[in-house]
Amino acid sequence: MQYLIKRLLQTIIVVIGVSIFAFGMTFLTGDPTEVILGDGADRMSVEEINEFRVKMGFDKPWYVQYFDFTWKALNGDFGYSFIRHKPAYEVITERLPATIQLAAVALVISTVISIPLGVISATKPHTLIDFIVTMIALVGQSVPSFWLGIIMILIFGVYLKWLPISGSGSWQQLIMPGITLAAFSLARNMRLTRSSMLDFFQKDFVRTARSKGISENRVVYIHVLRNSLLPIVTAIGLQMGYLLGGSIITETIFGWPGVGREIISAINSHDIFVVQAGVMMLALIFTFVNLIVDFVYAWVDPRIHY
Amino acid sequence: MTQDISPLTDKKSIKSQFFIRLFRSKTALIASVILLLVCFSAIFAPIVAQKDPASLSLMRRLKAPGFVEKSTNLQFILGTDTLGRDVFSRLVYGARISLVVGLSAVLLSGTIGILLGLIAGYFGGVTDSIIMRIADIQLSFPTILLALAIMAILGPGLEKLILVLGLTGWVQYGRIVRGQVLSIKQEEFILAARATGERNWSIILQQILPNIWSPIIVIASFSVASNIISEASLSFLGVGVPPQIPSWGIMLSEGRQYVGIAEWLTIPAGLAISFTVLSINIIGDWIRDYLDPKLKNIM
Repeated sequence: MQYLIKRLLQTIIVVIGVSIFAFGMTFLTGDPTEVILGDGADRMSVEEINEFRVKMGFDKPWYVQYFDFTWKALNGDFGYSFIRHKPAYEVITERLPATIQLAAVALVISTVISIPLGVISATKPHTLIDFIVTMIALVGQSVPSFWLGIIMILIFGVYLKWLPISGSGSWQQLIMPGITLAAFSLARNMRLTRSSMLDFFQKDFVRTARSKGISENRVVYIHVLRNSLLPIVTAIGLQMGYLLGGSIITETIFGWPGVGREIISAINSHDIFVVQAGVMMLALIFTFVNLIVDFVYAWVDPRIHY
Repeated sequence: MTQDISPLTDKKSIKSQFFIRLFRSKTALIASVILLLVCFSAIFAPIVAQKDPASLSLMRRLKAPGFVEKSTNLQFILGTDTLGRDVFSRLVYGARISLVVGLSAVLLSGTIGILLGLIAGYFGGVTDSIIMRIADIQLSFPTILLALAIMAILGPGLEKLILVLGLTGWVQYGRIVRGQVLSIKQEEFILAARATGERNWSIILQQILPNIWSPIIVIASFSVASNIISEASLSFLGVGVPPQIPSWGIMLSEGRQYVGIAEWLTIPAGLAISFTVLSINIIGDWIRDYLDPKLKNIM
């Protein structure tokens, strides 16, 4: 219980930190007015720029601005997007389901493939299959996801014409982006499962179980796998962060209408409020996923205390 | 004195041990060769490329590999890009950018991380809490997102990118170093040093630091790889290095629209990134096994 409270407090601090960063983003170059006006400022007179500044409240002291920002944010007001002609908050929340769908699919693909393969590889170390799995894992962690996406588009979309290369809506359109996003995590999880299990095989309690005459299958699946799942589960939770970040790139390549692609297009069109809202949203989701993962971990392993 | 059998302190045959073990592993050997090739190309780029990567000519845009320009008799072994620039030269000079960014960012984040980790671990208390809180907050952002958000506001730029990657990457060093310091702090030789009145920073730098290099080196080697991918990713998205600089990421972003029409724009750069990162990862694995196989659990 103490752990839960500590963790919650920590999350609150982190959320405050996230809000400070999202707020502070526009101050990175010193003057938020310039950042928001972008190149348009060149065509405006000094009076017009100052008018804009006062209208947006940028002339107030920073702590007042921060308070305004947080207060508005809590009410779902992240400013208005002049490009999309709707509140920035709506722009992001409209596209959130698409990103979550993609991330969820990637997580499933990654877990469903990596754990069984990792287990097989660990139970038959130094065999051909182990070597193949290890190689795939190594390559999967080295190949940049956007290149993998491009190559998949080339092979499956252009040459073989098996799969659609962009857009969303049908399950076929989910396959390539899903695999592209999942690739790195898949590779990582495979290696982690393998090394975690191999490690556990060395432990004393496994030797005891074997000497008691327990069947090898039972040893592998019940004793070793269960225990080695703990670090794997944590790693999977941590990979949500990678998936959220990686979705930006994958969505851009495949034209997937999610938050990531919107952030990039907002960056290119200088729609700062949308960028702020998007960054904050993704960071908050990530924070809460981590919180949940930590709770699950603590619940599963009663030895954990902070 | 504590027993330390790590290869780093067995000074007698460090070099011979190192190379003997290296040659035993065929994959590590091949990876080293590839990496040396990349480094060589990066350092001696003008000699390897023999052409100016920025020289453009719309007359020879989008020519396939093997193209020979009639007017100058120049060979373009990997073809030309959308502005008529030599793809091979850009590839070679791109190695420079990747390695420069990769190594500088690691130096920066390593320095910050090691310093903060040492301070947090050794002095503890409020300083420790503050540093760890900052680390937690920073970790609450997916790294790419953080770097992306900052670069989006600042605009593309080589030094800015290195700064951002360096500032966002310190946490992994900080945490590991702090952990190591915490476990070493209670060792007898440290307590002895304090008892004899040795100054704090002298203990930190001369007693503690030399004993915790192993995990730092391992993290650093994997970090170079991930920084190279980060640079490529950010440049691909348009918020990394400015478009005039030849970077593998930018080559991929420019070539993306011509997938199916001009594959030579994307395949070489992608292969370059993949092989470089793969080699670094293989060597990183090997270094980790060489220094301390127990580290397999931490990374």
